[in-house]
Amino acid sequence: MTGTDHDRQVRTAFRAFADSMTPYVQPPGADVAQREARRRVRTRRVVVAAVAAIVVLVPASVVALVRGVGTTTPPLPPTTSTPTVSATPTSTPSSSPTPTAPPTPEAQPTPGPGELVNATLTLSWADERCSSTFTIVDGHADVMVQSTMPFDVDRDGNLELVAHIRCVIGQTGPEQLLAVRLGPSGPTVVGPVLVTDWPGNSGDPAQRGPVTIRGYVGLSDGSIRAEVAHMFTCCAVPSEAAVVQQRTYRWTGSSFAQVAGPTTFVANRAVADIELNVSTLVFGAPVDGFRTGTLTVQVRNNGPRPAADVSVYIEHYLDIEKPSGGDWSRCASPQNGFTRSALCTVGDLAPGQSVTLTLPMRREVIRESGESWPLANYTGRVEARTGVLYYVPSVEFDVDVA
Amino acid sequence: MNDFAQFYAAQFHGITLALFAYTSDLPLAQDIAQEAFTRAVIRWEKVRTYDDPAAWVRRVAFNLASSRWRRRRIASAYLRSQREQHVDGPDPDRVALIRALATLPERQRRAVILHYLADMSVADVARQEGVSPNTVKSWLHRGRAQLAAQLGEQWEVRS
Repeated sequence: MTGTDHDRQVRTAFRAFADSMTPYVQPPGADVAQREARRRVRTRRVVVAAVAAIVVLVPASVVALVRGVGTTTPPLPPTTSTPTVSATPTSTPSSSPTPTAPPTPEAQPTPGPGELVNATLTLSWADERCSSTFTIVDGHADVMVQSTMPFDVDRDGNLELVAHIRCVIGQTGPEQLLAVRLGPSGPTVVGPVLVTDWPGNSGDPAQRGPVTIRGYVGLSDGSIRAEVAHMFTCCAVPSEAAVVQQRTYRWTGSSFAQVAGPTTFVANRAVADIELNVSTLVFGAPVDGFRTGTLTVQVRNNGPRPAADVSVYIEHYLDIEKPSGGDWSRCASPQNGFTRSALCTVGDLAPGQSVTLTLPMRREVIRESGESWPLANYTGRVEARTGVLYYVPSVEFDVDVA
Repeated sequence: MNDFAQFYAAQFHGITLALFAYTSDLPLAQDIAQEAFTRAVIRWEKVRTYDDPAAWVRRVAFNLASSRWRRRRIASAYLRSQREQHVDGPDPDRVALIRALATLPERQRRAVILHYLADMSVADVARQEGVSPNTVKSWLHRGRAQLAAQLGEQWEVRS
């Protein structure tokens, strides 16, 4: 086969790939990008929550991370709707509820996630990026059903479905347990059992970091016990870094209310409050064929506890040289010579302590001639890290020419 | 529709598909594309004046993909054990091209995708990758031969 044949074959394969895959691409939308851009511009000083070891114990501040949903439930469906799946409760309420297997009707299939396919349900979330309506069509949705449990939430002898639902933001997102009534015209929302907050980057650092629902079980008195964890277990964050609690909820006739377990999270002792302040990387006029500039990264521990083993990861899209001097001795780069990224060690930070890294950069002017856009159009970003890999927000910086 | 929205509508699919081909992960590709467009809109007054604003977004996106790629490799084993399996797009293993691309060295794969899927000229790929046009030509030559061989095998097996 000749090179021309290869070219034709590869070109055909790529065209077929583009044609067949295009329908699967679901753009989140230009408006979402614009909203996010406005939010980032507002938040010039970004504070990141990072995982760190604990050295000193301090009185834990108490924060609420799982919202009560009692008064904010969506309107209930008419009580006349007829459930299609019924079952006799398997046990009677007792003063000391015990976990019970969901009752399984013998003549009818157990309802499961399939009941929600093609259903449109109205949901409320704590993050505007999450859709308020939810439809699964052939498995595509921006919300995911993690699991379901058939359970008689209102003790009327008919099974409802409790669904663990997650709004997909990146690899995680806010979650909720939603009770759904199954009827001949499709499922309708009974109400959210619990909705987790998605606090973002502002406010009390102890309140930041997502909450995940780790599990849930129906109890013999009709209540639902959920295990919730502050701080997701994702991306190599050790699961023991999370604060885990069990909370119990029960249907009150109009909404779900919490009836047992803690209502607030204690501050997570494994969360450090690290703030990054990053300068613009300004390159000066050429001298002897080189431009030089300096990036300054200030890392500060705003938290009440020491932060251990802090480092910053710096990434930019320029091939630069690292002249001697500054704080490069604290940094490692994957390549020698030219580099587009570096991991710099900051070390342990006491409460209130800050460390500033000064990173001089040097660049041959001749490289600019081969580039399709000017130096001032480049950007980079800095990310705080601690002992373990953690999915943290990062600070962007601009490159400019003086 | 404002001009960013028009730009987004015209370019999102193409850039996402190129990233999908590069990473074999469609949800990740969409995340990265969205991030790159978000960065574009932050400096849209500048980016919109470029000859080819899409090239800027594509370059940012591919840079993001390369760096996330490295980090995800560390986390992926953990994630695989944590994440529930959902039908969330085409199964990459069923896409012959994706499977064949995955066998190419990273820079070769990027060059092939930029040239064949993003329709970039050899000179533009060379500029984006910071190498000479001859290097790109040699990447394309080798990548193409390997892809053709792999795709040929699959077609033979299927027929």
